[in-house]
Amino acid sequence: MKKRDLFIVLFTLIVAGTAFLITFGGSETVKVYSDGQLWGELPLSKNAVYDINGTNTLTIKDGKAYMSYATCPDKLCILQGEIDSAGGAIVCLPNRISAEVGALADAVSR
Amino acid sequence: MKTERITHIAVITAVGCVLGFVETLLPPVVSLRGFKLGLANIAVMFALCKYDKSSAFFVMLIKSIITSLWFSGLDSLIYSLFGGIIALGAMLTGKKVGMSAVGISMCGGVFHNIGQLLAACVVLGSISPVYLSPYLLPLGLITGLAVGVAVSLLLKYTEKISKQ
Repeated sequence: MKKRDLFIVLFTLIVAGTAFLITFGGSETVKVYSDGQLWGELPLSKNAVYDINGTNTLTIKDGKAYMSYATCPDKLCILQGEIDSAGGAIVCLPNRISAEVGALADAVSR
Repeated sequence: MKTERITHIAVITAVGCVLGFVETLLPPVVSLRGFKLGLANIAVMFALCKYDKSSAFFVMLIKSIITSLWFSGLDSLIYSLFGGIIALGAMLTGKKVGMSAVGISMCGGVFHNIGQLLAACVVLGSISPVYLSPYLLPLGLITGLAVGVAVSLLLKYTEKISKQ
Protein backbone atom coordinates (compact mmCIF):
# COMPACT_ATOMS: atom_id res chain seq x y z
CA MET A 1 0.00 0.00 0.00
CA LYS A 2 1.18 3.47 -0.88
CA LYS A 3 -0.12 6.84 0.19
CA ARG A 4 -1.45 7.45 -3.32
CA ASP A 5 -3.74 4.44 -2.98
CA LEU A 6 -5.82 6.52 -0.61
CA PHE A 7 -7.06 8.60 -3.58
CA ILE A 8 -9.28 5.78 -4.74
CA VAL A 9 -10.52 5.06 -1.21
CA LEU A 10 -11.44 8.71 -0.74
CA PHE A 11 -13.04 8.88 -4.19
CA THR A 12 -15.21 5.84 -3.48
CA LEU A 13 -16.36 7.09 -0.11
CA ILE A 14 -17.28 10.51 -1.54
CA VAL A 15 -19.19 9.09 -4.52
CA ALA A 16 -20.95 6.42 -2.46
CA GLY A 17 -21.81 8.94 0.26
CA THR A 18 -23.21 11.40 -2.27
CA ALA A 19 -25.24 8.65 -3.94
CA PHE A 20 -26.56 7.62 -0.53
CA LEU A 21 -27.67 11.17 0.29
CA ILE A 22 -29.31 11.64 -3.12
CA THR A 23 -31.16 8.35 -3.23
CA PHE A 24 -32.35 7.97 0.33
CA GLY A 25 -35.31 10.02 1.34
CA GLY A 26 -38.59 8.72 2.61
CA SER A 27 -41.72 8.28 0.54
CA GLU A 28 -45.05 6.59 1.05
CA THR A 29 -45.38 5.14 -2.46
CA VAL A 30 -43.52 2.62 -4.58
CA LYS A 31 -42.88 3.62 -8.17
CA VAL A 32 -42.68 0.72 -10.58
CA TYR A 33 -40.88 1.20 -13.87
CA SER A 34 -41.07 -1.14 -16.83
CA ASP A 35 -38.64 -0.57 -19.72
CA GLY A 36 -37.89 2.88 -18.34
CA GLN A 37 -41.56 3.92 -18.36
CA LEU A 38 -43.56 4.54 -15.19
CA TRP A 39 -45.82 1.50 -14.86
CA GLY A 40 -47.58 2.59 -11.71
CA GLU A 41 -47.34 4.32 -8.38
CA LEU A 42 -48.49 2.06 -5.57
CA PRO A 43 -49.31 3.07 -2.00
CA LEU A 44 -47.25 1.29 0.67
CA SER A 45 -50.08 1.61 3.18
CA LYS A 46 -52.38 -0.81 1.32
CA ASN A 47 -51.73 -4.56 1.44
CA ALA A 48 -51.97 -5.83 -2.12
CA VAL A 49 -50.45 -8.08 -4.78
CA TYR A 50 -49.63 -6.56 -8.17
CA ASP A 51 -48.95 -8.44 -11.37
CA ILE A 52 -46.43 -6.52 -13.49
CA ASN A 53 -46.57 -7.45 -17.21
CA GLY A 54 -47.10 -11.11 -16.28
CA THR A 55 -43.36 -11.45 -15.59
CA ASN A 56 -43.06 -10.21 -12.02
CA THR A 57 -45.27 -10.04 -8.96
CA LEU A 58 -44.82 -7.27 -6.43
CA THR A 59 -46.37 -7.81 -3.02
CA ILE A 60 -46.99 -5.01 -0.56
CA LYS A 61 -47.58 -6.10 3.01
CA ASP A 62 -47.49 -4.11 6.25
CA GLY A 63 -45.78 -1.12 4.64
CA LYS A 64 -43.08 -3.23 2.96
CA ALA A 65 -42.79 -4.07 -0.73
CA TYR A 66 -41.03 -7.12 -2.12
CA MET A 67 -40.86 -9.09 -5.34
CA SER A 68 -42.67 -12.36 -4.73
CA TYR A 69 -42.46 -13.89 -8.20
CA ALA A 70 -40.27 -13.45 -11.28
CA THR A 71 -39.89 -15.39 -14.51
CA CYS A 72 -36.17 -14.71 -14.81
CA PRO A 73 -33.77 -17.56 -14.02
CA ASP A 74 -31.62 -15.89 -11.36
CA LYS A 75 -34.42 -14.52 -9.10
CA LEU A 76 -32.12 -11.78 -7.85
CA CYS A 77 -34.99 -9.33 -7.55
CA ILE A 78 -36.66 -11.67 -5.06
CA LEU A 79 -33.39 -12.04 -3.15
CA GLN A 80 -33.09 -8.26 -2.95
CA GLY A 81 -35.67 -8.42 -0.17
CA GLU A 82 -38.02 -5.78 1.14
CA ILE A 83 -38.08 -2.04 0.65
CA ASP A 84 -40.08 0.25 2.90
CA SER A 85 -40.82 3.95 3.31
CA ALA A 86 -37.21 4.67 4.29
CA GLY A 87 -36.16 4.26 0.64
CA GLY A 88 -34.48 1.78 -1.67
CA ALA A 89 -35.00 -0.07 -4.91
CA ILE A 90 -35.56 -3.55 -6.28
CA VAL A 91 -34.18 -4.05 -9.76
CA CYS A 92 -34.95 -6.92 -12.13
CA LEU A 93 -32.58 -6.54 -15.08
CA PRO A 94 -33.70 -9.52 -17.24
CA ASN A 95 -37.32 -8.30 -17.27
CA ARG A 96 -36.32 -4.61 -17.21
CA ILE A 97 -38.45 -3.79 -14.22
CA SER A 98 -37.57 -1.72 -11.19
CA ALA A 99 -39.48 -0.77 -8.07
CA GLU A 100 -38.29 2.26 -6.16
CA VAL A 101 -39.07 4.19 -3.03
CA GLY A 102 -37.32 7.44 -2.43
CA ALA A 103 -36.33 10.94 -3.25
CA LEU A 104 -34.56 10.05 -6.50
CA ALA A 105 -37.66 8.34 -7.88
CA ASP A 106 -39.72 11.39 -6.93
CA ALA A 107 -37.28 13.80 -8.55
CA VAL A 108 -37.17 11.82 -11.80
CA SER A 109 -40.90 11.40 -12.20
CA ARG A 110 -41.39 15.15 -11.83
CA MET B 1 10.49 -14.06 -27.19
CA LYS B 2 7.24 -13.12 -28.85
CA THR B 3 6.00 -16.70 -28.89
CA GLU B 4 6.86 -16.97 -25.22
CA ARG B 5 4.79 -13.93 -24.38
CA ILE B 6 1.81 -15.11 -26.42
CA THR B 7 1.96 -18.40 -24.55
CA HIS B 8 2.18 -16.66 -21.19
CA ILE B 9 -0.80 -14.46 -21.95
CA ALA B 10 -2.82 -17.44 -23.15
CA VAL B 11 -2.06 -19.25 -19.89
CA ILE B 12 -3.02 -16.17 -17.85
CA THR B 13 -6.31 -15.91 -19.80
CA ALA B 14 -7.05 -19.59 -19.19
CA VAL B 15 -6.38 -19.14 -15.47
CA GLY B 16 -8.70 -16.13 -15.49
CA CYS B 17 -11.51 -18.20 -17.04
CA VAL B 18 -11.03 -20.95 -14.47
CA LEU B 19 -11.08 -18.39 -11.63
CA GLY B 20 -14.35 -17.10 -13.08
CA PHE B 21 -15.68 -20.65 -12.95
CA VAL B 22 -14.50 -21.18 -9.36
CA GLU B 23 -16.39 -18.03 -8.43
CA THR B 24 -19.69 -19.41 -9.71
CA LEU B 25 -19.30 -22.33 -7.29
CA LEU B 26 -19.16 -20.02 -4.28
CA PRO B 27 -22.46 -19.09 -2.64
CA PRO B 28 -23.54 -15.49 -3.33
CA VAL B 29 -22.35 -13.33 -0.45
CA VAL B 30 -24.57 -10.38 -1.24
CA SER B 31 -27.69 -10.77 -3.31
CA LEU B 32 -27.04 -7.90 -5.68
CA ARG B 33 -26.87 -8.23 -9.41
CA GLY B 34 -23.41 -7.39 -10.59
CA PHE B 35 -21.76 -8.14 -7.29
CA LYS B 36 -18.99 -10.66 -7.68
CA LEU B 37 -15.73 -11.25 -5.91
CA GLY B 38 -13.90 -10.63 -9.15
CA LEU B 39 -11.39 -13.41 -8.72
CA ALA B 40 -10.91 -13.42 -12.49
CA ASN B 41 -9.54 -9.90 -12.20
CA ILE B 42 -6.45 -11.42 -10.63
CA ALA B 43 -5.54 -12.55 -14.16
CA VAL B 44 -6.15 -9.10 -15.69
CA MET B 45 -4.22 -7.38 -12.90
CA PHE B 46 -1.35 -9.83 -13.24
CA ALA B 47 -1.12 -9.24 -17.00
CA LEU B 48 -1.14 -5.48 -16.42
CA CYS B 49 1.59 -5.53 -13.77
CA LYS B 50 3.78 -8.20 -15.36
CA TYR B 51 3.37 -7.19 -19.01
CA ASP B 52 1.60 -4.15 -20.46
CA LYS B 53 -1.81 -2.63 -21.12
CA SER B 54 -2.45 -4.37 -24.44
CA SER B 55 -1.84 -7.77 -22.78
CA ALA B 56 -4.23 -6.83 -19.96
CA PHE B 57 -6.85 -5.69 -22.48
CA PHE B 58 -6.57 -8.96 -24.38
CA VAL B 59 -6.91 -11.04 -21.20
CA MET B 60 -9.93 -8.98 -20.08
CA LEU B 61 -11.66 -9.23 -23.49
CA ILE B 62 -11.25 -12.97 -23.97
CA LYS B 63 -12.00 -13.73 -20.32
CA SER B 64 -15.22 -11.68 -20.44
CA ILE B 65 -16.44 -13.33 -23.64
CA ILE B 66 -15.65 -16.87 -22.54
CA THR B 67 -17.02 -16.63 -18.99
CA SER B 68 -20.18 -14.80 -20.13
CA LEU B 69 -21.00 -17.36 -22.82
CA TRP B 70 -20.03 -20.21 -20.55
CA PHE B 71 -21.95 -19.38 -17.39
CA SER B 72 -24.42 -16.57 -17.65
CA GLY B 73 -25.55 -16.05 -21.23
CA LEU B 74 -25.12 -13.31 -23.79
CA ASP B 75 -27.05 -10.62 -21.95
CA SER B 76 -24.43 -10.48 -19.22
CA LEU B 77 -21.68 -9.90 -21.79
CA ILE B 78 -22.58 -6.22 -22.16
CA TYR B 79 -22.24 -5.68 -18.38
CA SER B 80 -19.05 -7.68 -18.25
CA LEU B 81 -17.41 -5.85 -21.16
CA PHE B 82 -18.61 -2.39 -20.15
CA GLY B 83 -17.38 -2.93 -16.59
CA GLY B 84 -14.14 -4.47 -17.80
CA ILE B 85 -13.24 -1.67 -20.20
CA ILE B 86 -13.99 1.09 -17.69
CA ALA B 87 -12.13 -0.82 -14.96
CA LEU B 88 -9.09 -1.23 -17.20
CA GLY B 89 -9.14 2.48 -17.98
CA ALA B 90 -9.19 3.28 -14.26
CA MET B 91 -6.41 0.76 -13.59
CA LEU B 92 -4.19 2.32 -16.27
CA THR B 93 -4.82 5.75 -14.74
CA GLY B 94 -3.95 4.35 -11.32
CA LYS B 95 -0.74 2.87 -12.69
CA LYS B 96 0.19 6.16 -14.33
CA VAL B 97 -0.44 8.09 -11.12
CA GLY B 98 1.97 5.73 -9.38
CA MET B 99 -0.29 3.59 -7.22
CA SER B 100 0.80 0.24 -5.82
CA ALA B 101 -0.70 -3.02 -7.08
CA VAL B 102 -3.29 -2.87 -4.29
CA GLY B 103 -4.32 0.67 -5.26
CA ILE B 104 -4.56 -0.18 -8.96
CA SER B 105 -6.68 -3.18 -8.10
CA MET B 106 -9.01 -1.11 -5.93
CA CYS B 107 -9.46 1.34 -8.86
CA GLY B 108 -10.37 -1.67 -10.99
CA GLY B 109 -12.86 -3.03 -8.44
CA VAL B 110 -14.66 0.26 -7.93
CA PHE B 111 -14.79 1.25 -11.60
CA HIS B 112 -15.86 -2.22 -12.68
CA ASN B 113 -18.95 -1.73 -10.56
CA ILE B 114 -19.46 1.83 -11.81
CA GLY B 115 -19.28 0.52 -15.39
CA GLN B 116 -21.81 -2.21 -14.70
CA LEU B 117 -24.21 0.22 -13.04
CA LEU B 118 -23.94 2.53 -16.06
CA ALA B 119 -24.58 -0.41 -18.40
CA ALA B 120 -27.60 -1.35 -16.28
CA CYS B 121 -28.87 2.25 -16.54
CA VAL B 122 -28.59 2.08 -20.34
CA VAL B 123 -30.31 -1.33 -20.57
CA LEU B 124 -33.10 -0.38 -18.18
CA GLY B 125 -33.50 3.11 -19.61
CA SER B 126 -33.73 4.39 -16.06
CA ILE B 127 -31.36 5.66 -13.41
CA SER B 128 -32.67 3.29 -10.74
CA PRO B 129 -29.45 1.20 -10.64
CA VAL B 130 -27.87 4.26 -9.00
CA TYR B 131 -29.71 3.15 -5.86
CA LEU B 132 -27.32 0.23 -5.62
CA SER B 133 -24.18 2.37 -5.81
CA PRO B 134 -23.88 3.14 -2.06
CA TYR B 135 -23.47 -0.62 -1.53
CA LEU B 136 -21.69 -1.65 -4.71
CA LEU B 137 -18.89 0.94 -4.70
CA PRO B 138 -17.53 0.18 -1.20
CA LEU B 139 -17.92 -3.54 -1.96
CA GLY B 140 -15.85 -3.02 -5.12
CA LEU B 141 -13.21 -1.33 -2.99
CA ILE B 142 -13.06 -4.32 -0.64
CA THR B 143 -12.94 -6.95 -3.38
CA GLY B 144 -10.33 -4.84 -5.18
CA LEU B 145 -8.27 -4.84 -2.02
CA ALA B 146 -8.47 -8.64 -1.77
CA VAL B 147 -7.52 -9.08 -5.43
CA GLY B 148 -4.70 -6.56 -5.05
CA VAL B 149 -3.19 -8.42 -2.11
CA ALA B 150 -3.40 -11.69 -4.05
CA VAL B 151 -1.68 -10.13 -7.09
CA SER B 152 1.06 -8.57 -4.93
CA LEU B 153 1.86 -12.00 -3.50
CA LEU B 154 1.71 -13.55 -6.96
CA LEU B 155 4.12 -10.96 -8.38
CA LYS B 156 6.51 -11.53 -5.48
CA TYR B 157 6.62 -15.30 -6.02
CA THR B 158 6.76 -15.24 -9.84
CA GLU B 159 9.70 -12.86 -9.60
CA LYS B 160 11.57 -15.47 -7.60
CA ILE B 161 10.76 -18.11 -10.21
CA SER B 162 11.95 -16.11 -13.19
CA LYS B 163 15.24 -15.34 -11.44
CA GLN B 164 16.13 -19.00 -11.00
